[in-house]
Amino acid sequence: MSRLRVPAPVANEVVETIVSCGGDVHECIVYVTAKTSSPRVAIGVIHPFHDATPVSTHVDGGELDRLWGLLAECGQTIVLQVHSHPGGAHHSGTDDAWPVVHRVGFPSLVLARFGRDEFRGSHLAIYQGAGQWIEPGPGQRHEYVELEGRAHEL
Amino acid sequence: MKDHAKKLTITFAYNGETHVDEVPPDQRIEGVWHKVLAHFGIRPEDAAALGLFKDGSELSRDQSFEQAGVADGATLHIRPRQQRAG
Repeated sequence: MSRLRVPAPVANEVVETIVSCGGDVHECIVYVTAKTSSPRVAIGVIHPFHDATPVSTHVDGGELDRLWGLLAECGQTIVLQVHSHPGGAHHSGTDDAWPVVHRVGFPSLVLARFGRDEFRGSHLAIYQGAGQWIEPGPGQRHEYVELEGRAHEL
Repeated sequence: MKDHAKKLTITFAYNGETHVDEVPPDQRIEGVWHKVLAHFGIRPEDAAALGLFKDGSELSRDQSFEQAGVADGATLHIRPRQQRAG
């Protein structure tokens, strides 16, 4: 799969949304979208209705149904999920088991410290199918996701 | 009298993409499930993580489209039942 390019305004919106939603109190999740006709360039951020605790987020089926309709109507597709952790970033067993998209190559990014460090110390995982993920090292992440203007943070 | 030659035109939607297919009303949903998933690039090993939904309710794939109440022109969502992180 080719690299996903995330323009700076989209990357900024990801961080601002996660920090403003969760504060220092609870986690938050957002979905980054692209046009279905150009899925390797991110253009927007969806902040789904979600439950959250200091250590979890949950998007229910009703909200996913609403988003599925919205995405089809707008000709957009989810190309990256990003959520926050209270401490260090890693891909948990829950993250492994319950992604929003089940396509090989789908990326999931975890931000540390409720997103306060923006993308510094973040963790990237790439879906491999059947609940399996690979976790590229810092030197390999740019092969999957390019954060414009923030390459040094990923 | 039923017209058994008539097929239903169904739109399947997954993550913003759509695929239109024609199916006989008495076609068992399970019989086309993996073919539709393959169209969206979803592998068979991920089928269990997803469901087929009409108006927010998951359809039993043991039923035919007709038994499931799927009408001609319907849009069905293929999606996870929930999404969790933590």
